[in-house]
Order: sequence, then C-alpha cells, then structure tokens
Amino acid sequence: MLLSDFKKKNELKIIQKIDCDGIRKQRLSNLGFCKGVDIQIKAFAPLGDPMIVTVGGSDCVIRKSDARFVVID
Amino acid sequence: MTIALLGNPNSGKTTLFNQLTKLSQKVGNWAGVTVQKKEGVYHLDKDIKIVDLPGVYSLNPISNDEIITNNYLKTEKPDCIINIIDSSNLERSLTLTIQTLQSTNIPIVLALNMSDELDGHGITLNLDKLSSMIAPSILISAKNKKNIHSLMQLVNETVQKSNSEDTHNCLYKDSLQQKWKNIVIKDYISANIDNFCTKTNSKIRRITDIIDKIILNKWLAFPIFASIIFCMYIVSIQLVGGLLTDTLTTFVEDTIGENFRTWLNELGASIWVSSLFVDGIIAGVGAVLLFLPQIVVLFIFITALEGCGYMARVAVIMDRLFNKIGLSGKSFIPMLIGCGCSVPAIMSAKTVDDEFERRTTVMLVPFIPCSAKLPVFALMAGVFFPHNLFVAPSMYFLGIGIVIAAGYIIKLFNKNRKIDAFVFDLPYYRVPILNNMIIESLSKIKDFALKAAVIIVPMTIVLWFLQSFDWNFAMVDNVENSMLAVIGKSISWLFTPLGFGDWRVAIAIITGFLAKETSIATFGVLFGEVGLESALQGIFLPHAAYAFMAFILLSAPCIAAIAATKKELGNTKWWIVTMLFQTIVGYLVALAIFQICNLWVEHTQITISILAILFIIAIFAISLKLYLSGSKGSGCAGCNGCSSGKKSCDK
Repeated sequence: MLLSDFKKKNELKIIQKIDCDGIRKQRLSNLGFCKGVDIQIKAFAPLGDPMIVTVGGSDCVIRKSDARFVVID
Repeated sequence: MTIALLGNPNSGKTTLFNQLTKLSQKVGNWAGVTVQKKEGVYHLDKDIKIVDLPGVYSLNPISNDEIITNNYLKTEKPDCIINIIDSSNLERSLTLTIQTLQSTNIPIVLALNMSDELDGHGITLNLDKLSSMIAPSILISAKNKKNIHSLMQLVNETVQKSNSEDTHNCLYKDSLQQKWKNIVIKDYISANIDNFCTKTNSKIRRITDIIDKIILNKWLAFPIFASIIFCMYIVSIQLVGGLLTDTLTTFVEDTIGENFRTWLNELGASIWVSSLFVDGIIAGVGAVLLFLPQIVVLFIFITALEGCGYMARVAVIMDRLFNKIGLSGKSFIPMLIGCGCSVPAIMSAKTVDDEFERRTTVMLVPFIPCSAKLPVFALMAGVFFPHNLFVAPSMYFLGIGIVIAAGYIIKLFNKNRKIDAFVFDLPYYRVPILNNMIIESLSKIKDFALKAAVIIVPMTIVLWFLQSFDWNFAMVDNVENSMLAVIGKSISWLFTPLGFGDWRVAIAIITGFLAKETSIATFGVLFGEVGLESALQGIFLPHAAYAFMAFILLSAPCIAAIAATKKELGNTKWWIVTMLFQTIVGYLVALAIFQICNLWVEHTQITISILAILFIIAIFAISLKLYLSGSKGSGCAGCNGCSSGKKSCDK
C-alpha cells in the first residue's frame, strides 16, 4: 500500500520500501523515511495536502505527490 | 585557528553562531552559488575564525548545500569541526557525524544542543559513552547561552591534543579514519543508540500534539492564522510604522535637515553644497531609512513566529494553494510581508529552500502593493474616482491577480522542472527568547542597511543632481528647467500609449524609484499643492489615471527593494532580468488597461487599440520566452532546480 492512499490517522505502520531514487530518495532518507522504520499519519493540512507524519519518532511534512513513493504494509 | 560549524538544519546552528560571534559576522555568498556564507570571529578570542556551514543531513554531494559543505571540509581543512546536534534527535544527527568521521581526519567536537529540553523529552544522554566511542562531547544550550565557553575550551583541548598526536604518531589519525571507514552507518547507529541515550515519555511532544490539533484543525486553522497576521500588522505597520515613521519624517526633514542647512550656510558653504546634503543625501537616505523601525518590528515578529515553530505550520496550511502556481507554502510568508514593505519581504525569501522557487518568489513579491504605494493610490483614487470605494482596494486584487497569473505562466513554461521532494522537519513548539530574537533581527537589518547604503547613496545623489542642475551645470530654482525635466520630456513618449505621456508624469515615475510615495511629492512640486487636483484632471483621463496606478504598482520597485533584490538573488544577471520583467509587466498591464478602456470610451481609436493589444500579447509572449530560456541555462549551471529535463543534467 502507498502512504498517499492511506487515510487513517494514528495507526502504526512500517515502511516496506522507498520506491524512487536520486535526490528524492536522499531527501526522504535524510528525514528518516527508510525501509523498516515506524510511520504513522498525525494530521492532514486543512486543505487536505500535505500531511504530517510521525516517522521514526519525529514529525515530518510530506506532500501526497511524494508520499506515493513510500510503500507501507 | 578556523572552526567550522556543522549540523542538520534546525539544530540551532545559527543561534550558536550568533552567540559565538556577537554580530561580528560577515555575510556573503559561497563562490558561484546563492547559498549564504557566514563568517565571524569568536568574541572572546579574535584569532579564532568561525565559519557557519549550510545545514545538511549528509555529505553526499546532491544539493548545493552538501556540495559546498563537502568541498569546504576537503579543501579548506578547518582546524576543528563543531558538530551541533539536536539532543532530542540524536539518532538522526549521528548519521552526519559518522559520515564526517569517515571522510575527513579533522578533529570533531560534538555540541549536544537544546540540553534544556532533555527533561521535557524524557531523554537521558550518556556523554561518557559518546565521548569515548565517537568524539569529545558536551551538553550546551545555545539559546540559553549555557556551556558556550566550556565548548570553546573543549575545542581548544581537542585541537591541541590532535596536534601533539600528530607529532608523535602521524599514522594515528589515518588509522582512526580507517576504523570508521569500514562501518555501515545505519547498522552502527541502531546497534549503539541505546548506549548513548535512553528515552521515556516526552512531555514536549504531548504538548506539541495538542497545540497542533488546534492550529491545524480544519475549521480553526485559517481564522487563527488570519488573527495572528492581523495583530502583526496592527502593531508593526499601524502603531510603530504609522506613529514613529511620521514623527521621524518631520524630525529628519525639518529638524535635522533644516538645521544642517542653516549650519552649513553659516559656515559659508555654497548653496549647492548645502542642497546636496539636505535635499539630496538627508532627504533621500532618510526616506528609505525611515522605514527601518517598521522593518525591525516586522522582523522581530517573524523571527518570533519562526522561533516558536508557527511558520512551519503556516507553510503546511498554505502549501496546497501555492503549489498550484508552482511555489510552495514557504513562499507565502514573503508575499504576506510584502503588503507591509517589499524589503523585509524579499529578505525573508531566504527561508524558501528551492532556488527556482526562491527566485520566482523574489520576482513576484513586489507586485503585492506595499504600504508606500498606498498614498499614490489614495491620491489618484480620491481625485478621479471620489465616489467609488473599490478603486483603491482593487489594486490589491490586481497585484494578487498578477502574482497568480505570472506564477502560473512561469510554472507552465517550466513543466519539465524537476521538483525535489517537498518534505521538511516539523519542529516542536518552543518559547522564543526575546533577546535572541532581537539580535537575530538586528543582524539581518544591519546586513541590509550596509548593502543598501552602497546603492541608495549614489542613486540619491544622481537624482538630486539631475533635479537641481540644468545642462550648463548651473543650479536651477525650478525643476522645470532641470536636466531631469529634459529627460522627462525625452522619455514621456514612452508613456503616451499608456495614457499619461506628460513629461511631469515621467518625472514622477523616475523619482518614484527613490520611494514610491515620492511620486506624490513630485506632483506637489511640479503642479503646486493648491491646484493639484484640477491640474491632475487636466493631464489624466480617468482610465489613464487607473493605468498610472497599475504602472506604479507593478513596475520595478523602489531603490531599497531593488537593493534587497540584488542581495537576495546574489547574481547581477538575474537582478537585471527581474527589474526588466517587473517593468515590462507593469508597462503591458497599464497599456492593456488604458487601451481596452479606450475601446469603450473613444470609438474612433479602435484600430489603434486593437493593434496595441496585439502588440501587448506579442511582447508578453516574447519576453516570457526570453525569460524562460534564460532560466533553463542558469538552472543547469548549478545542477540544481534543473528545468530543461536534459539527461546530461541528471548527474
């Protein structure tokens, strides 16, 4: 399942794969988006995009267009 | 001795840098790129130079920031690296630390910052383990000035120790680097993190979660946001700006200016000397510097909102809307400040990470009507449309409309631009410290004032000279006989298609570059304050007056904003492109307004109008094309914000 399709808040998931490469992958992994890390959706912005996720214990903002590269279980 | 500050973004690097250097900092750009370079000396020992490296998460040379950091460490070889670490996020920060240990043999000291928040996060750190296994470590709190001096002592000891080891055993450092070379960073951290810190429940996190529930709530987010902005405006623009600026204006012009003139005359200076100082330099620089109080207050507000973590939430709230015109939520803050004054607005574009977005933001911000343009709108609307309340506010809609249109078109033409992932760290809420906020704002202002002076003083002198002398270099009593008038007459034809081809209007536009409200003062001088209204009505048709307002709104901004633009773009070519872009947009929009209204008003000129409109469209398309082909070239040079989509750029 892709993170961008997941709608439930506060449900713990584990990242299976980061499905991209280059700068985007580096940017994501800088902020802790790596295989095997815990992730949960904390909130959505008032207009629905971007969303705030808690990844590996810290909060990050991610657009849905980037969240579709994050594969969760 | 040179010390480099290395750390993740938001780890408190800038605060530590400000504490160590106490405003001795010099700000410039790293060679070839617009990334800011900050240097200073340690305030207790002037022999220690401190360099603030860009905030990075890794040394993999991917973006400009990382390339700069990497090159600096490899080629400049600082004597010591202070690695600033956000104590609440040790796990993530150590990646950079170990990567640095792997790639250099420069001694490193770990400064575990935000130690004041450790209790709140329920974290206990094992400093002995960190020191013995990784590098000498110390707990500091940059914002509370705790342990800063001890940190520098530790740096000194480490450097001395490393130097003595150097003479005894040259191979020691290499073997140390070798030890780290064979380590897989991720595995090493996850295997050892429990040795370094233990975590229990975080109180700060719980509070942050609660505040976020309110601030980012679907229904409350926008009302809360609007009220915060409203307060910011009332205080900085209305209270401080309105009261202080008016008082200061009278003080500078009447008290200082006139007394200085009397004093100079008593000394026996010739009229032109006193006029140069009083009418030229004092009046010109004064007009710009008088905006400083409100800029300072605005900046303190912005630094406070940034420091407490609210600005990051604003970027979240506004991102969706700005994404539509190819920008991100982070571009919203400059636009907002632009309603007050373009200068701090352009300066605050720094917070936009992406180079393309930052440049576009700087280009678009002056289209938002700033407070100095309001007197122009008020006068023109009052004279020509006294019963229409919507004319002056319509300028706001026009400005916002042009921002959206231009942003959208720039986005359309840059379809192939690779958008880097828009992900960023959402900080915890913190209570900002007033003292730090003031120092931070002042360092930004000081930087601006110095740079601006280099542009403003020569420009005001040139304008004064043109205004006060004729071609025989004899001083004139009346502007009508001056060089400026001749220049006005020679360029006024340019404005004929816009409906205001009078030479006096051309002069008002030129003097408007000093500060937009100066245009009004110029009208006052040229027409006399008494008959101003009827004189203006004799020159402008009502729709020409509206076109004039649009031109003042959109064409290149005042000198101070032009100076800020140059500083923020850091590149002369882009600066000129931006000025031309703004002036061309202003010209074309004014042309369109006047000519389209002419279709209704004067039926005889239909052919001319249609030709003019076609001309507008052609110019607009050509200039955009030129602008965009320029942006592709420059995007490739740094391999950042690449817009051409060429494979060769994807290194």
